[in-house]
Amino acid sequence: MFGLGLRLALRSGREALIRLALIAAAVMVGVAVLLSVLSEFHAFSAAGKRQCWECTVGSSITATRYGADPTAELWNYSEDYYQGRTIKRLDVAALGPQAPAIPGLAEIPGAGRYAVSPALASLLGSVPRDELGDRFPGARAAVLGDAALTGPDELVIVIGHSPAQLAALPATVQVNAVSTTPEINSVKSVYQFGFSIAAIALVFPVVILIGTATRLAAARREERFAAFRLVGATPRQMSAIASVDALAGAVAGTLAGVGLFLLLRSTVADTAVTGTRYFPALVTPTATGYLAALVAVPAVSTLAALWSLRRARISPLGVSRKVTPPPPSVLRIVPLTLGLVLFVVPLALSSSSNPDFKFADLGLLLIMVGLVVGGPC
Amino acid sequence: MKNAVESGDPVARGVLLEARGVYRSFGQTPALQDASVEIAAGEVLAVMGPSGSGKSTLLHCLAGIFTPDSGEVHFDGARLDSLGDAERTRLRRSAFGFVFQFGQLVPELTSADNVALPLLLGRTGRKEAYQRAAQWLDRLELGDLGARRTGELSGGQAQRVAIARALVTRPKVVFADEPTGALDSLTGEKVMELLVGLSRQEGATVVVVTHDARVAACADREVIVRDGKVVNPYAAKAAA
Repeated sequence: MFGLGLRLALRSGREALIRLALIAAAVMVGVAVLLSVLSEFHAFSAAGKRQCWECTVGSSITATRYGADPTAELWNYSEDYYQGRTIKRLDVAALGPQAPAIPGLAEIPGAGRYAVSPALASLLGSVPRDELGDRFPGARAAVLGDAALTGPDELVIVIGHSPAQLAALPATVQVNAVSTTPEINSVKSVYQFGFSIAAIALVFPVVILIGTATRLAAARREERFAAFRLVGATPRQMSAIASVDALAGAVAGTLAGVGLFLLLRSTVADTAVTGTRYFPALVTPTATGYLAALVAVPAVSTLAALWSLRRARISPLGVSRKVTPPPPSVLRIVPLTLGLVLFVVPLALSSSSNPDFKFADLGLLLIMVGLVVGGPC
Repeated sequence: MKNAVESGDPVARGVLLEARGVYRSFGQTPALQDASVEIAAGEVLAVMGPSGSGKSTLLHCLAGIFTPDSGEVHFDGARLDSLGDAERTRLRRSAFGFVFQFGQLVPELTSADNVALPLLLGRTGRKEAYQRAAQWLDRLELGDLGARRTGELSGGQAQRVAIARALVTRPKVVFADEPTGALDSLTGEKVMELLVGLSRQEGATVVVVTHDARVAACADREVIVRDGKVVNPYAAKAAA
C-alpha cells in the first residue's frame, strides 16, 4: 500500500506536488523551531545544573597565614558592575597547598595574580585600564574554563591574595570546600513553562497548516480514492494510502528541518533567549529531543492529515457525502474547558512566589486543541 | 400464476443475482421503485432504458455499492443488501469486477498497477499479483503497455485495462456501466467482444448497463428499466 500511495502522491500532478511541498515546508519549519526550543531548553537546564561555586558558604576565619590549614582558603565573593554588566569577583587566598579551586580552574591563583573569564579578558583588553583594569590588582595568570561559567559572555574574575591581605577585607570567610550543588533558581519553573509555551505555540500552527495543506487538491485525490474503493479497498486501506503523502512530506520535512536547525544552530546559540548566551556545545537537543522530533512530528503530521480528511466518506463512486457535522454539542467545549481549568486553577491556588505549573502545559495544549475542536471548522 | 421471483430459493432456480422490490431514492428523488430482476449464473444481461431511468442505480444496488432503501438484493444465496460495508467491500474485491465508462482506473498508476490493484488490496503477494496482471494484459493484447500509466492510454486501451482488472480476480459477476459510452463504434464493438468473450471463458456473469442497442445485442437477454422499475424483469432470452 505504501508504494502505491507514494506513487499516487508523487505522480498526481502539480497540485499534489505543491501539497507535498507545503507539508514538507511546514514540517521543516516546525522541526527547526522545535529543535531550537529544545536546544535552548537543554542549554538552560544544563546551565542550571552547573556546580554553583558562587553559592559556597564559609565560616569564620580561624587562620591568616599560609600553611595553617592545608585544605582551606580565605574567600571573598562579591559582584561588581561595568556598563550595566555584572562582574562576578572572587578574591581568594590559599591557606595551604590543597586549597580547593573552583571548577574550571586547576588551582587558585597566587597572591598578585588573577584568573579571568574569556569575556572579561576580552573586555579588559578593549577598555581603558583606568575604567576597569585598575579594579583588579595583579597580573593575569590563567583563563577560566567553561565549568566556571554559565555562558561565554559571563564576566568572572578570581583574584589571588595573601591570607593576611584578604583577612583584612570585610565579608571574608574561611572555606574548606567549594559548593558542588547547583544554584537554587526560584524562577526555573517559570522558564521551563515559558519553553513549553513557546514549543506548543510555535508548533501548533504548523500542525494546523499541515491539516490545511492535506486538503489541497482534495477533489482529484478523492476521485482516485473512489477508484480504489471500487475495487475493494477498505476504509482502513484508504486511510493508509491517504496518509502516505502526509507521511512522506513529514519525513522529508523532518530531515530538512534537522538540516535547517543544524544550519541555524550557531545563530540560536548566539541568541540570548533567557537573557544569557549559553556555550554552543550546550545548545543542542538531547538524543531524546532529536528522537521526539524525528518520530513525533511525522506521527502528528499524519494524524493531522487524517483528521483533516475525516469528513470525506469516500464511496466507490466518489465522495458520496461529506459527513454532516453533528449539531454543536456541549462535548465540543470539553477540551477547552478542561484546558482552562488545568491552566488556571493550579496557578490561582498556588502562591505567587511559587506558582504551580505542573498541569499548565497540558492545559495549554488542551486549550489549543479545544479552540480547533470547538471552533467552526 | 406464481412468477420465478416468488417461487423460493434463487440458487435452486439457478439464479446468481437477484433484486426483489428494490426502492432507492436520492433525497426526494426516487431512482428505483419496486425494481426486481434476476440474473442466472453465467448469463450476460443487458439493462437498457432511457437516461435517468434508474438503470445505473439498479446496477449499483446489485453490486452492493448502494444499499436499497427497501427491498432485497440476493447474491449467491445470501442477502447482499444487509451486509456491512466491510463484507460488501470484500465482495467487490473478490467476487465482482467493474468496467465503467469513466473513472474506474487510477491514471497516475501504470496499467500493471491498475490490473494488480484488487489482488494487492486482497493481500495477494506482490509478485503473484503482477504476474497475473501481466497474463491478463497479454490476453487483452496490452502486454507491451504494462508500464504505461493509464492516463496516457487511448480510450479503447484504457477500457481493455479495465476489463483485465475486472477479470483478474476471477469474479463471479462483472458489472459494466456504459462500457463503450466514450468509444467510437468500432472500438466499442471490440471492447464488448472482449468483455463478453473473456467473461464467458471465465464463467463470469455479466450485467451491462447500456442504451446502445449494439451493445445490448451482445447479451443473452435484456431488461428495460423505466421510471425506476424493470418493466420486463423476466424477459425471455433473445433469439439466437
